[in-house]
Amino acid sequence: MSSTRFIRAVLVTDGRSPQIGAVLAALADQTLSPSAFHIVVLGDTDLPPIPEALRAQVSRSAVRTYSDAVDTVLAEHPAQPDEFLWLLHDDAAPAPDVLAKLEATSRKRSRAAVVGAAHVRWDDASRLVNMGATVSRLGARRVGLVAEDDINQGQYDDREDVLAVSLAAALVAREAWEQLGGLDPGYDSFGDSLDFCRRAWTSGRDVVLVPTALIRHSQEALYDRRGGIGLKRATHTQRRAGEWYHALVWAPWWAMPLIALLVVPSTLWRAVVRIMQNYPSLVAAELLAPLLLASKTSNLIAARREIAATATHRGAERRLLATPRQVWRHIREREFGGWERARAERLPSDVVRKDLARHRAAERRFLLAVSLLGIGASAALGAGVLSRVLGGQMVSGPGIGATDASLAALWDRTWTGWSEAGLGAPALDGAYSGMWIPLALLGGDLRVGVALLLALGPILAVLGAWVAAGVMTRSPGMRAGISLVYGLWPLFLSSLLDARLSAVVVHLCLPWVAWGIARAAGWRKGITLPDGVEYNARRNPSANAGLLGALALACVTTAAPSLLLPAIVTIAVLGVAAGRLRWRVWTVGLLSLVIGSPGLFAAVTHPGEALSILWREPGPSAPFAPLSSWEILVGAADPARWSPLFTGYGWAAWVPGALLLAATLWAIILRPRARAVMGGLAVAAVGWAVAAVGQATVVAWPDGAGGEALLGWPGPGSSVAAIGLLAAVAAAYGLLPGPKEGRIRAGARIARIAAGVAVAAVAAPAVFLAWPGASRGAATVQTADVLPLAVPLEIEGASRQRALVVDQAGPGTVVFSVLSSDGTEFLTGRAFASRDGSPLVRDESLPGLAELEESVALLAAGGEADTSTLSAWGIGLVIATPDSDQLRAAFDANERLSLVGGSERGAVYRVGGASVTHTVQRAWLETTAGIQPAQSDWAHGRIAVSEGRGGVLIIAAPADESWQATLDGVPLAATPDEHGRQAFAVPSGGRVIEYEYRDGSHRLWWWAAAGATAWAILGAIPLGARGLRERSWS
Amino acid sequence: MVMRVPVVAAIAVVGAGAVLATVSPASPPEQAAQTFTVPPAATSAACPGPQRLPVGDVGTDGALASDTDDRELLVWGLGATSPMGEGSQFDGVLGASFERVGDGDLRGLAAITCVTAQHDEWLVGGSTSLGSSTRVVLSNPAAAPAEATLTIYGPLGQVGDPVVVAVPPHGQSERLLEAVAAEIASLVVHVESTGPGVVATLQDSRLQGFHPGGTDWVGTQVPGERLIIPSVGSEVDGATAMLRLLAPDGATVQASLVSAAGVETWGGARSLTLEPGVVTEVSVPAGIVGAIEITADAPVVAAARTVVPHAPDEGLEGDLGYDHRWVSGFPDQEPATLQTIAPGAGATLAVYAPVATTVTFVDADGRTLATVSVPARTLQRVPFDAPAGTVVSATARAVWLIEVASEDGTSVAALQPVNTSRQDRSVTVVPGSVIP
Repeated sequence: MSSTRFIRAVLVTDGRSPQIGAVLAALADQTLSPSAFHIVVLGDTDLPPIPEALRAQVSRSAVRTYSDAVDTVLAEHPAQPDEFLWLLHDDAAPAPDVLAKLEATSRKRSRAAVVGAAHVRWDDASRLVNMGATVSRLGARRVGLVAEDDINQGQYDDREDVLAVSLAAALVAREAWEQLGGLDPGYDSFGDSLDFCRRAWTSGRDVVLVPTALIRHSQEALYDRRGGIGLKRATHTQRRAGEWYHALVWAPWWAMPLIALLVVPSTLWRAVVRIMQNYPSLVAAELLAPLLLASKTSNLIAARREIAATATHRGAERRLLATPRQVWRHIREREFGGWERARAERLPSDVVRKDLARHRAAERRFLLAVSLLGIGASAALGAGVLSRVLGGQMVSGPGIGATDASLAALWDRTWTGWSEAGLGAPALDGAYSGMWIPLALLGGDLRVGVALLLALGPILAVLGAWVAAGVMTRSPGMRAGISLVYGLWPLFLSSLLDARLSAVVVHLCLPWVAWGIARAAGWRKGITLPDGVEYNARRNPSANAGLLGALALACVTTAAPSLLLPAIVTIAVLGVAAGRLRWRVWTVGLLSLVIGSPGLFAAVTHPGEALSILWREPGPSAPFAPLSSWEILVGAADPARWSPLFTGYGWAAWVPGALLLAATLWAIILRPRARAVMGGLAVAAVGWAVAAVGQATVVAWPDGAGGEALLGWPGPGSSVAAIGLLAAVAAAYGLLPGPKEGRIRAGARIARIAAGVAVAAVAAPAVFLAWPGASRGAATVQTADVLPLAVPLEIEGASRQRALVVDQAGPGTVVFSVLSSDGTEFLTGRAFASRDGSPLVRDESLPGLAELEESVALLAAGGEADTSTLSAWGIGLVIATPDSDQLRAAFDANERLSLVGGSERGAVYRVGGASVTHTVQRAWLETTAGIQPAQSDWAHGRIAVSEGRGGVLIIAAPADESWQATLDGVPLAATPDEHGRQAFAVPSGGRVIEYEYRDGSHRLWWWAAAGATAWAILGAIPLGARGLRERSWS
Repeated sequence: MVMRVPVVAAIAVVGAGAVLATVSPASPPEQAAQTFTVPPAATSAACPGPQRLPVGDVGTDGALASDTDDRELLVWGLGATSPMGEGSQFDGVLGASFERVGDGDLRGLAAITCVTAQHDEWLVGGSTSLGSSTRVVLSNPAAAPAEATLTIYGPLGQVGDPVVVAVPPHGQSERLLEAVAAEIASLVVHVESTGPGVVATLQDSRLQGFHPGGTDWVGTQVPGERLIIPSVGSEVDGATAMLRLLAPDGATVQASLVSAAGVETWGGARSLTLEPGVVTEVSVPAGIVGAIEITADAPVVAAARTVVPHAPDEGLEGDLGYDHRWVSGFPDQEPATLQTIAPGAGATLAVYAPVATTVTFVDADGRTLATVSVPARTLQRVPFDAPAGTVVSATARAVWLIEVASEDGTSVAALQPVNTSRQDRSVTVVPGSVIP
């Protein structure tokens, strides 16, 4: 064996690497000089001065790839015996001993066709970048053999045979290079080294790593710094496509279709993960990878032929492929690295640990104490409700209605945008209904979910407030006080006991909004250690927390749209205060803005009723006696709900709020210049204004479906005010310097007594409410069946009849209601009408219950009243409520009604006595031969036309442009109808009619809202991503 | 600084409260109620048909026999007449039934003005004591079935459970009350019905040993706080009269007897306290032919029974037979048009008015049949000769009836007019919700 091997160094540069000068200098410093040195310049850029010592032959070439550039040199210079190529990049600077070490190894390992070096960071040679690489068995995941940025302590120095090394600054046998045909252009220069090395193995050669030969590599191509944006994500698509390309190139032929099929789901999953990792910019990059891959079909065929031609030792590389364990470690480091890093960073020093343990013990004690109080309040106020609901009943009451809305109804309402209230109407949006869907998953309807929400309200509010208070103050006592005040906030308890679900949702979600905003902006108070140093484990801003806050805010603004604009304005201001992280904070409001956009749009298009629309209450809402301004200010309880035992103690209702106001004033005086305190106060002012304006506004007009006009319940505004005041107090307390806490400790006894009195004062209204004999609120627990048993079956059956319920309210007065559900329900959300009763989403008014009023009057008066108007609107059942004997008499006497049965819930009559030949339907086809009923659902249905008869399709719902019908897929033309129903002319000869309510703008909103929500949910999952972090240096 | 705290606090709280107070609560609009005028449904009057012997056929020979061949039933009505069970129904809203039985158990006169179906009716009359039979006849002239619930009251309050009776369309159902409430001397029956309602009538037939004790139809009335019974008593020697009262919810009642001369003294009934649901009977002073005014502090029902004796054709010396006449209380109200049908010549108009007035009686064509001038709080009785079947109506604030008697005055009956004007009803309709 010759002692001097011929080494031909080839440096290819496009001149755009800023490191080229340093690279040339490093090459000139080599202890072993290459036998020949070629510099290939792509394009016509100027090179920096080339050190004389290199004795470089510079040539220019117009080729585009590295491999081709090398080939141009080889074409001009015939091969020497046992020649090796030293393939150099313009961003990789070898240490002075690299070539010597590589050359020595190449001589020691005679079968080695590739001898590679270890790559380290350009700016920090102790941090490893590449120590060889391998791939998963499938081939679609490149697995680096070191963690990126691992510190080089010589721990890998015994590494030798690897599947692949980076070809940058590697020695490659010229014979192998030429036989294997250089690098595969299909990889777009990402992953081509891996592919070449693997081909070397399969052709019977070895690939060897020299771990002690260090190359500083600035990875210009990886970070797209050659005229690109300088960020790693710019090359993500190519790298990802390269990995799949590798898998396809190396897979056995029969596995190729399977891999191709796997590409799409894998890509979608990765896109979802990127959202979860809060790297939205990578979502598009992931989604583009399959397209790029598809464009490489010809490369793929060529590459597989090449392998078939050269692979004499197929399978030789298999032992070097990544084991499943290696792959998992790689994924954990790369995709979930955030967790590990955060955990490592949270580990405090031993000195601090003891103090922290003491603090945490105190936190636990206080948390346990307030939790017990919260659980106690929950049990006292809600255990009875919960147990009865679990026994099959449901929460109900005036303004609340039936709370057993089914999952299907909630879904149909949010998806179609069609409200079934009354005769049906286009709804403003479907957000309210959609919000309840997760809760309805508990058993198929909302019955249990609603009861759980009401029963667990106090404890959930206490815990939420505890967490939120933690960002402002780390004092366990203060946090406990804040959670107690918030969890037992008197107006919140009133909302619970009246089952004002919207106000309850607002109160429960608001602390999480505050927490999310604070964490997104990195505003978090640390624990003050005894030496006065603040220890803060989680100061890092969290995008996940911000998105969780966004979800909570979306629930808040969906339940109480009145808070949407105030929230957006507040968040805009907070974003400005967050400085660099303003977008994180602003993002919190984005989801609510998307979901609430129909309401904002309606407010703009109905300027005269803008206030009504912005303050609308979409869900159950009972009428109430307006609160005085003072009651709003302190969120006062209503002593009328208490046990009569406490009649003389009405003033106690004012105490919790008054205490909080006093504490706030203390905070202002203590810290008059603190922005956090003033911010809290501003939020409180917004809350008070929202509450006061709500009471002064009709938030729901009679909608023609029986819903009465309502004033805005001040509960949500009061909750905002409470959050603001508590935040001001907490901020002021949190800003106290350490010694002050010491002074407080000095007066611990007084403080304890004061705290005890305060706790008693705050808890008193809750105790008075829970005391036996208290009237509590409007909510009651009732049997879940409202109408007589036969009725719900008919309503939900394929005919989807409506039911007319008539009640004798007094002499000569009847109250009627048209139902498509078992009892009036508001949980799917009001449709919303303007002052004149027309839907907010339409310009013209639609037929409402007024169409039926005369028929109802005639029916109630007795005699042979006509029922054709009822059946025209799909009303198949008439129900006289119990104790309405005159109505029963009138209905009994009417030949056009036939008694079906009676029970304590009322007497049921079927519309159309003996004279009618078909049952009443929601939709039907009228032909000359009679009526053909439709199989109907919420807002769609179908008819199998018999004998192809044509006629008129009638949908017993108000005519609207969004109703569509098709005959065998061909759209039908709408025709006018005498009753104002939706009708379509049906030509003869068809087979199947399908009709559907499809509102384009609603659908658009739905997808936007669903997309934004899904994004927020995924993004709220705390997944870190170490491998995706960008690195920058000057 | 400590001093400043309360000042700043007070200013801040008062300021915030004052600002909030400028926003005053709105008042939400009421649910829009719509009122409709509903024309009266076309209804028809129904007559119960002939009286029936409660004991079946036990011979028709002589005064001591039960049944008789000497009977005459006259039925008149507005519009076309069609049979309905044993009775008849009319297309119009008024009818009358007049029956004369010459001998047998039912000897005497029985008359009733036939009316349309109602849903809530009170029948004051009847007895189930030994020798007495009370038969409730429920007629349903409509095409839909009805269901009536009979609640029976006696001197001790409600008797037993209510009895439910189904009444077929265009048909009749009847119940003998002695089968469900035996040995009750004085009865009041409350008839509540569903569906199209029923026309309720009550046949009160009695025996006095072997001799007839009186028979008549009792018509329905509605409870009122001021009732007039326009005819009570008879000039026949030995005639007696009785007032029967019931207050569904209890009441204190003032009753006064008014004759042609004005208010008569009546010691026993100046002030009566009626227990809820308890039937109370008060004797009316004999020898006075008059009217009874009833004033109560709560709704009551009332009727008066006049019993007239006669010497039977058969039997022992000194035996007496009787006939009786029920006259129901009628609400004293604003001037109204009352109508009935004249049974023929030889009748008497009895007219009571709470204020001085002149009542003009006209027939269907508006021809004046009689004019009666009535001083305030008196009963005027004038002979009335209108052909049988003539519709008699009068518009005045007066309560009146047509008395019919045999020539000797020992068989008595009366036709009480009814208010047949059917006004449009107004029904207010409000959209609402169904909350459990």
